[in-house]
Amino acid sequence: MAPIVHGLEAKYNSQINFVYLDIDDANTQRFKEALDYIYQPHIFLLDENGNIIQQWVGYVSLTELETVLVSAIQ
Amino acid sequence: MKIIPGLWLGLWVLMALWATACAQVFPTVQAPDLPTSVPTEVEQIAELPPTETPVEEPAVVDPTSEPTATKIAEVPTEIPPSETPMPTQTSEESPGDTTPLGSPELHATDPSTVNLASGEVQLVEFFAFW
Repeated sequence: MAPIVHGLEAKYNSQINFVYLDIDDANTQRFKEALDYIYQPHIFLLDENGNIIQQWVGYVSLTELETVLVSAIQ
Repeated sequence: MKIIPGLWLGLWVLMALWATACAQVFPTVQAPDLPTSVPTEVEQIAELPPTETPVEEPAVVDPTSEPTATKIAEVPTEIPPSETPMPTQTSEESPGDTTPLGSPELHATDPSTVNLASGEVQLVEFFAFW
């Protein structure tokens, strides 16, 4: 499944850092463990210190994502 | 065997008549004029101008002389920027109207560059290419 937040990146990349981690890449294992990754797609919104603000497992609507992103950057 | 001379004469007359009849039915076709003189191969060869084959003399290399350095023209590696500007994608829609899901340019972030505590808000997505 392709990343679903690329559209949001085009809109908010100046305010939010977007990271796409390939679950098949062995080098992403430490991030899976750090964030308690379950299965893809698994999206995390992190604050400046790496704390999880919110997370979504599975399908999430773009509207819901955008609403949370906007509230996080305000 | 004895053949009657009159029979021979009759046969000759019949043959003559038959040949005459055939000549009238099938008129002779006159062959086109053919060249009377056909050039022979020997004549054609004789008409060719004599060719002179230049004899190349072997180049004399002086073993004491040092080889001359040949300067190779420098090829510019940089491609000059085209004067025609790249077309920019313009859209009359306002950016807030629709935000497409996904992107044709699928790429993964290099994990070695990722820092979870980056000092700014981050959206981290775990995904697969399949």
